Amino acid sequence: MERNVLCKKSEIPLGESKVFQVRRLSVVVVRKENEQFYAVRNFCPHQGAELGKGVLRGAARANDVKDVCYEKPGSFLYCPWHHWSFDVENGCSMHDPENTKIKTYDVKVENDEVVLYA
Amino acid sequence: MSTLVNKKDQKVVNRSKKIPVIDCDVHPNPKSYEDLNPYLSEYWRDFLADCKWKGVFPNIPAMAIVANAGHRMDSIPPEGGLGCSSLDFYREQVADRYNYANSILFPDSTFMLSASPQHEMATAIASAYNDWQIDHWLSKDSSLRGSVVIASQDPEMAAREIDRVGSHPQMAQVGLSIHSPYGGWGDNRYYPIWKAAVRHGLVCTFHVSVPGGVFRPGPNYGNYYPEFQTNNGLTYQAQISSIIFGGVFEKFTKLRMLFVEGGFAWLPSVMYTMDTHWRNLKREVPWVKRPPSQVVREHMWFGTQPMIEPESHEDEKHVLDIMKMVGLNNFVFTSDYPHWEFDAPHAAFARFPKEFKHQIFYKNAVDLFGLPNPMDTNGTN
Repeated sequence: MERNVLCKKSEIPLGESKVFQVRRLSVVVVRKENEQFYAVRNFCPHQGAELGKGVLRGAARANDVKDVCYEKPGSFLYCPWHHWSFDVENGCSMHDPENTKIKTYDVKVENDEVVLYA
Repeated sequence: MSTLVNKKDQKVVNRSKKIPVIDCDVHPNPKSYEDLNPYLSEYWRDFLADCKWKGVFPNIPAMAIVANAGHRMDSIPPEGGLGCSSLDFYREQVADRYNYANSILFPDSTFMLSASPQHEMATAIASAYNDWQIDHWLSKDSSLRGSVVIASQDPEMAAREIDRVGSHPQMAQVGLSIHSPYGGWGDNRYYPIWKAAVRHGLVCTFHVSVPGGVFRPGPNYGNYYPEFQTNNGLTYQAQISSIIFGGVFEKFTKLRMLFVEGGFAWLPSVMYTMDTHWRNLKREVPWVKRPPSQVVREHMWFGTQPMIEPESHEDEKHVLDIMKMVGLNNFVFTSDYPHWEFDAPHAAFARFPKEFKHQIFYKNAVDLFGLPNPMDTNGTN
């Protein structure tokens, strides 16, 4: 596993994501509002869209019919093509978490730099 | 010949020859609409007499093939009257002939009541039909089960009618039209109806119908009867989607629905499409917790009529494959007697495996309606 310095921490604003090419890997790095960084493969297993071009939102949850709120806001990457959604913390699909996952990577902040281990 | 029941008020179920049948779509009629008068208030009796009311077909277009009020030409009893207006003649022509264990009645064309813009009149007629049904059919044959007829334009009044007669021991379902009077059946305006149905343990059964009002919206209405028949499935598809994504079964977890006369070959496609969009677009309908296809299998049943009648063994396999994709537990036999589209059970299903016929002809209906199993030697019917 190699140590790959991606960028300065400040280059990824809070609550946003950025795509990096690491060797042959395309990776989406997410900086959540709580300052935690996560990295997932930039590839939707459905039809191959780039997840980095989608939006970062929460998981829609309903307390009752038509009473909706977000759960884990900012934790889910929504595919720009067909809205498949994945939890950036573990790569699990919102709707089929046991069977549909995307690859996750270790990412850390070291000396104010975002470092990916892959 | 072994028999399960042999009471005076019931027909005999023959276990040694033909597979018993539970027909989940039979449409009794009064001899004439004047038979409803004793069950109407003076006001509504005068109102209907003065406006020369002739039944509940006012919005049906003139289609030559269904000129006989949509009835089989031979369904009129020897003594006259409308088709399927004599219990004795019904027994002779259908129930005894095809070895029926039970018949689920849905008073003829009352599913058109919801198309009436006059809510109060429709409600009064629905109520009269319920009392007439109990007096003239249910009380005369304990193998019969009835429908609570409602006018769903006013869901609160409909719920009161369900409460009024829904606890009758022979009431099995609430009768509904597949066309909803205001918005799709998934709309929350209809919650009082679902709530009342669950309260009384009744299945909600949707029958093919016509849209209401004075205009004919959309291509699924059509100009010709073949067009009407062909396009019925479109309305069923739209309503099932409305009910699923409206979250009706998330709110009413004990609710069961039966869809009759809409066919079923389109169901696998609808289930697949609903699952696909649910998975992708759940953000918009997060109250739908399970894949729609699973919700369909747990909460929805489908009548077999109009049956796809296979013309070869290869066709038979294809029809079975379609039904397996939906779930073989989700189909019940429906004949639609006395309507023109009637399916004779042992003819329409002649090519199918025996075990499958046992399931379709009575086992699934026993489960859906909580009826006694006609093959149970200790059971009574």
